[in-house]
Parts: sequence; structure tokens; C-alpha cells
Amino acid sequence: MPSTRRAAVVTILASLASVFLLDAALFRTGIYMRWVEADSSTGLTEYRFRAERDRQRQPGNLVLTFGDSRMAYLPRVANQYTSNSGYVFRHAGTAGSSARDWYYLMRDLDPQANRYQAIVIGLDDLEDEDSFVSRQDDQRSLHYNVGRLALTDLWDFAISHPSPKYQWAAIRGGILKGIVMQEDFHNLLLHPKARIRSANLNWTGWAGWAYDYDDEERSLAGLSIDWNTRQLTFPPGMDPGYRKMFQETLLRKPSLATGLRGDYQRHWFGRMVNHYRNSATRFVFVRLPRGPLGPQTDVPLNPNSSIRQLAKQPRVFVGVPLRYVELERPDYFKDPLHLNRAGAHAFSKMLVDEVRELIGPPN
Amino acid sequence: MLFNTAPFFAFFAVVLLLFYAIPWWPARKWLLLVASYYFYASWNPKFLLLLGALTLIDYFCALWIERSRRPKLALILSLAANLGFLGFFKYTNFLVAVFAPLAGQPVRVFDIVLPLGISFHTFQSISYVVDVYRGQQTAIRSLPDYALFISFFPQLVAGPIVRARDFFRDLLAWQPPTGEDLRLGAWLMLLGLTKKMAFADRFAIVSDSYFNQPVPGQLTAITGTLAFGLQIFFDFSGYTDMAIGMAKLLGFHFPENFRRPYLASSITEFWRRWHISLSSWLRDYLYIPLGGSRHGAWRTYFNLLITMLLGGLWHGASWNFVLWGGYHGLLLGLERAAGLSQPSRWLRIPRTIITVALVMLGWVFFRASTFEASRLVLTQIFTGEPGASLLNRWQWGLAGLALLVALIEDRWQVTERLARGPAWIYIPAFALMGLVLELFGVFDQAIPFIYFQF
Repeated sequence: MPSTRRAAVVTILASLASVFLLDAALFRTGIYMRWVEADSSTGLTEYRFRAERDRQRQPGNLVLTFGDSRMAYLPRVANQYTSNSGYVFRHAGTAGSSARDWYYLMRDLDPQANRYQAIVIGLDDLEDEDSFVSRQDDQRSLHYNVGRLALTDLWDFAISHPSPKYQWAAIRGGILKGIVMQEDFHNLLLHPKARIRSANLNWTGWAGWAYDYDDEERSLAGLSIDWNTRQLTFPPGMDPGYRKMFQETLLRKPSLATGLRGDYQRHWFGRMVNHYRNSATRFVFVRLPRGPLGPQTDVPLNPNSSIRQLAKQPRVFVGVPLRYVELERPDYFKDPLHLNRAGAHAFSKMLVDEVRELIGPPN
Repeated sequence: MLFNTAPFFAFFAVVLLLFYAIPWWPARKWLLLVASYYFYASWNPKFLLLLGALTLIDYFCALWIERSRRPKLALILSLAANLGFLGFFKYTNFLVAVFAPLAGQPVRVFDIVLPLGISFHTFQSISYVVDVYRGQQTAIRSLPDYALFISFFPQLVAGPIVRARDFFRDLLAWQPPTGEDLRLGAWLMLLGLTKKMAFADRFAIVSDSYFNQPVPGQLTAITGTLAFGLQIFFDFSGYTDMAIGMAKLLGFHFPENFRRPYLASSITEFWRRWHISLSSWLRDYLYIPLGGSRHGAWRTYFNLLITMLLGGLWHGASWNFVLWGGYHGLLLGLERAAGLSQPSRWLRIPRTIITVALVMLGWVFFRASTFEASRLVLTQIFTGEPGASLLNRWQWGLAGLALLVALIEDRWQVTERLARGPAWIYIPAFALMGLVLELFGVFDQAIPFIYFQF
């Protein structure tokens, strides 16, 4: 069939568009996300999103919480106190996620900005102390958000990564989501039956299991430190490799003050707060229990930190920094960073109390 | 600027847009020349001098050959310049390592950077000058035209080695590409990119991990070698497809360089299907001048062996490449002696399997870094403990899919039909190929094309 040049150019352009459309049909419509591995960055975000979106709306008393794995509170435990607090707690944070990921998830969960009484965000620091992990150039972010990103987010999301390498990866993956989903797809090809079985189970059960989850019981009782000699005493029988991890985590030197964390939080928490600018939803930032031994010295309070600057706006509250110091005990932790079951239960109760104190009863 | 990176696509898009936006043909040629030199300079601008010098030498030598009563002198000068530069940059350290011990001298390693694509553009220049000498090609009067022939960016760094008559047929009587050319060009670019990123780079991860640190096991060695065999095919034929596709989009027609080589039923047929532009160059400018098959059986075997040894050495300065070339020369000779170089209708499948197995064994010399490493891998292949496969289920699936596509293409020439066929077939096929690329392509690291190092 002879083809004119003009027709050929149109066909080629249509072909390029068809690559995008086929990708969109698979990865933007929810067809593939139905089968995504639940135990992955994308899967966790999507299951959280689906679970929260599909729950019946309970106007007037919903509190949505965000945080990474250190936000070890249990909504089920928190909701045992609903009769006192008046609030129903829900959780949308995932391990390893950060402010950028919470923004996109929150935006999609509450596009009208009228669903929640409050958004509670748990952080390990309120003073903009720089972390040893760069949140700006975090490739995981693309994986957390790939199911949430629309074409209109592309530029915005991409330039939030300082490095051109990540910017390009974000643009590429934001247009053709299959590139981001590659590993998930390869695993599906390797174990199709197991994936389909687990997806079918998760489709109906995940929200309930996540809600009923209870943390591990193991504790670090017996762990202590002499801050003068910086010598750790470990519980008997602890593995030497595990001890090294404790030393690296608990005795690590403060990171260089670059201001990057402050900039990052100012931008993304600013956008979260701005999303609710015309609503009655309040924001609460709390500092999480930091570790089983606490720090040697507290980071001095920074009145100009990103969080405290945000808190100058109406409806934004900051918790008392030392509120959870009493939980910074070895018997409340299962590892150097994470609370155990007893710690999570105690923290959940204390969090409900703090939120209630800060924002008062439901409107 | 690798073909499989975003900067290259941006570069090519700009070139394509400007090329068709400029209405004046001489300006278009200048655009291609400037773009080609920019492309080359983006790797290392210093070597533009070398490229320019060789271009000038061969341009004037060809004119001299045509006008002089003593053309041989000009031919020798041109050959000396091309082979001299090639020898200096590519073989100095190898020759020093070979001859220094014979002379009782310590082996010194000189810090010599191999100019990108030198093996390709010197062979292209040589073919041009020799063709002029033989009277098969008129000397090109326009220096920019000749410079573009040598430096044309789609084929500058890794071929195909284009003959002057083919290139100047397009350049001197340039016609806008037909609709079919445009569709075929776009398809070949996507196909080449998919071959490179979704197939070659996937198998590269397996073969690199194996050959960089071979582990014991027969199946391990076999699958590691198979992975390299698949990598090198998809890598080089992917590059070639992209080069041919780009040229088509610009209105140029490059010769076919790969014709499903792993479906060959003999080594002779394999070389008619693998890197065709090099094997036909070796045939026309080395094997036939040596006498070809005109002086009896033993002389033919000798000529085959010499041609393949030098062909092996052309790939790289190491004994492993010499061995690889010699191995193929030997197989070609044995095949010829046994009367197996012609295809057989009834034994096609078993002979194809044997041919592929022999080619794969040859790749061990090509890929392993030393002779000792090759020996270790071959020992594992023949006498190793069982071991485990390095290819997982979907990698076998990719290999199977490639075989299926190759069989269909060999039987029905689907690519050509697709370019001519209706849009409602072309568009979904393009989308499916794009999906394969995005779901299997290696995007996080730009793995260089293997033949860029030659």
C-alpha cells in the first residue's frame, strides 16, 4: 500500500502516541494496579490509597496520619479511645516514604479538601536537623507515587529532584509508567500464579489486615549506654552484626547542616497545608520517639524551622518536642529506630491525647 | 553521545527538524556535516583532527589516482596513512607486547586512547580509494561531500561500512524519503532501540557477571556464553537497525548488515548473514585480492584462514580475537573441504543447531579477557559439574520470543510488509514494540554498544 510522506508522518506520530496510550491503558486505568505486588513501594501506596479511599466516609471526626516506618502508631489502638477523643484515626503513611509522597497521596485521597478533621504528621525531628538520607533525590519517591502521578504533575514532580539524573528518570517514568513498573512486571512473569493468588487475597483482605496489624513483641531490654565513654552494653546474646548496626545508628555523628531538609519540608508540607487553605482541616506535626536510648543531647529548638514557620499559620499545630521522651526506652523498642508492640500501644494512646489537646473536639 | 540515550535523541530530533526545515539542498548537506562532526566531537574533540586529516589525505589521494600516471603511489600513500593510524592507535601496545620480549626488552604499555570508530571509517576510506584505483568509482570532487561520506553520524562509529557508490548514489541525487522509507525508518529505530535496551542490555547483565568472574558449572558456562551470544547479536544488530533507520529518515539507504545470523545452517552462511558489510569488505578487499578460491583447494583454505585471522584482529588487538578469527577461518575451511558450505534442505534444522553451537563456542574467545579465561570457560562447558542456569524464566522467554520473530521475519519479511502495510497494523505493532521496550529495557544505566570499542 503506497503511502504519501504526509500520511507516513501522521502514522509515525500516531504510533508514538499509541505507545503512550497503550501504557496509559495498562498503568493509568488501574488494570495493572489490580495485580501489583502488595509488598512493594508502589503496592503499599496503592493498597493504602485504595483502602482509605474505599472506606465509608465518616464526616466530622476523621483524622488522617502520615509518617514513615517510625510512625509506629496503630489506628486500631487509637480508635479504642474514640469515645473520649471524638476522633477516628486512619493511617496513610508507608515505610520509607516522606513529605513528597504524602502530598500526592493526601491530594488524591481528599481532592475536595473536606474529608478530614485533621492531618497528623509524625517526624523524627522538628528542628530541620539534616538527615543522612537525601529526601530530594530519592528514587524511591517515583515508585511510591507512580500510581498517583498525572501528566499535569510531571514537571512539578520532576524538578523537585535536584539532580538531572533523577529529573529525567521522573519525566520518563511519569510519561511511560511501565518503565517504573518493570521489576514488578518481571516478578509477575516469574511467579504469575502466586501473584494472582496474593492479589486476589489482598484485594479483599489487605485493608483489614493492615488495620488489625500488631507490632512485634521483642524488645531491647538490657540495652544501655554510658554517654561519657559512648560505650553500649547490649542485651545478652545479641548478634555482632546487629550490634554494629546499633553502634552506627545510635552513635552516629550529626549530619552536616545543609538546610536541605528544611527546604524540602517547607516546600512539601507547605503544599499540603495550602491544599487545605480554604477548609477547616487542621495540621498537627509531632515529634516521634527517636530511639531506645534517646540522644545524648537534645537538638536545640529552632524557632525558624520549616515546621515552626508553618505553625505560624492558622490551623497548623506543633506538638511538644519532649512529649514522647518517656517512650525512648529499650523495652519499648524492637530495633534502634522502631517501637515494638508495647511502645506502639503506648504511643498510640499518647498520640490521641496530644492531638485532642492541640485541636480540641471535632468541629 | 550513545544512540540509546536521551541526549542523542534530542540531537537527532533537532537535526531531523532542521534538515527538513532548510529548503536548500547544499545547506542541508552542510548541516549533516556539521552535525556529524559535532556528534564525533561530543566524544572527544581532539580526534576531529585525526578524522579531518584522514579525510583530506584520502580525498586528495583519490583525485591524484584519477589524474596521475602513477596512481599506485597515491594508493600506497592512502593505505599507509589509514593503516598507519589504525595500527598506531589500535595495535601499538599489542605489537610491543609481542615483539619486546623477542628483542629482550621489557614490555611497556603506552597510554593510547583508541579513537572512536577508527576501524570503521578507515575501512570505509580504504574501500573508496581502492575502488577509485580499480576504476570502479570516480573520485569525488567536492571535499564537503567526501567528508560527509566518512563522517556521516548514523554510521560513523560502528558502521555499517558503506561503499562509496551506495552513499554517493543517494547524496548526489538525493530524493526525499518515500512514505514507506519514513515508516520503515521509524520502525527500525524503535526495533533497534528495543534490541539494544530490552534484549542486549538484559543479556549483558548476565554475561558480564559471568565473564567478569566465571563460576564453575557446565550449565552456568553454557548459559553465560549463550547470554553473550545473544547480547552481541542484539547489541550490534540493534545499533545497525538504528543507523539504517536514521539514514532512511534522512533519505539515505544503507545496506543490510544482519540477516538473522543465528538461523544460518553453516558457518559460511553465518558470515553471509553476520556483519555483512564487514564480511563483504573482507571478501572484496582481502580474500579476492589474495586469490580467493581461484588457485586450488589448499590456497583457498589458506586465504580463508588469513582473511578471518585479520578479520579477527580487526576487532581488537589481542590474541583472543586472533584465535576467534582463526577458529572461524578453520571452520570455513573444514566446511568447504567437507562440502558442507551449501545449505541442505533436509538437514537444515540440525545443521542450524550445530552452527549456532559452534558460533557460541567461538564467542568465548571473543568475550573472555584472556586466553586463560577462555580455556577455563571452555573447560566448564565440556567437562564442568552440572551447575545452574544463569537465565531466568522470562529471559528464556525473551530469547524464545526473539527466535520466533526471527523465524517469522525469515519466512515472511514482516518488517518490509509492515512498512508498506496499512496504518491499522503498523500503529498497534509499533505500540506493542514500545511496550516491550519500556517493560524490558534497561533504563538506569547506559550500557555502551560493544562495537563502539572497535
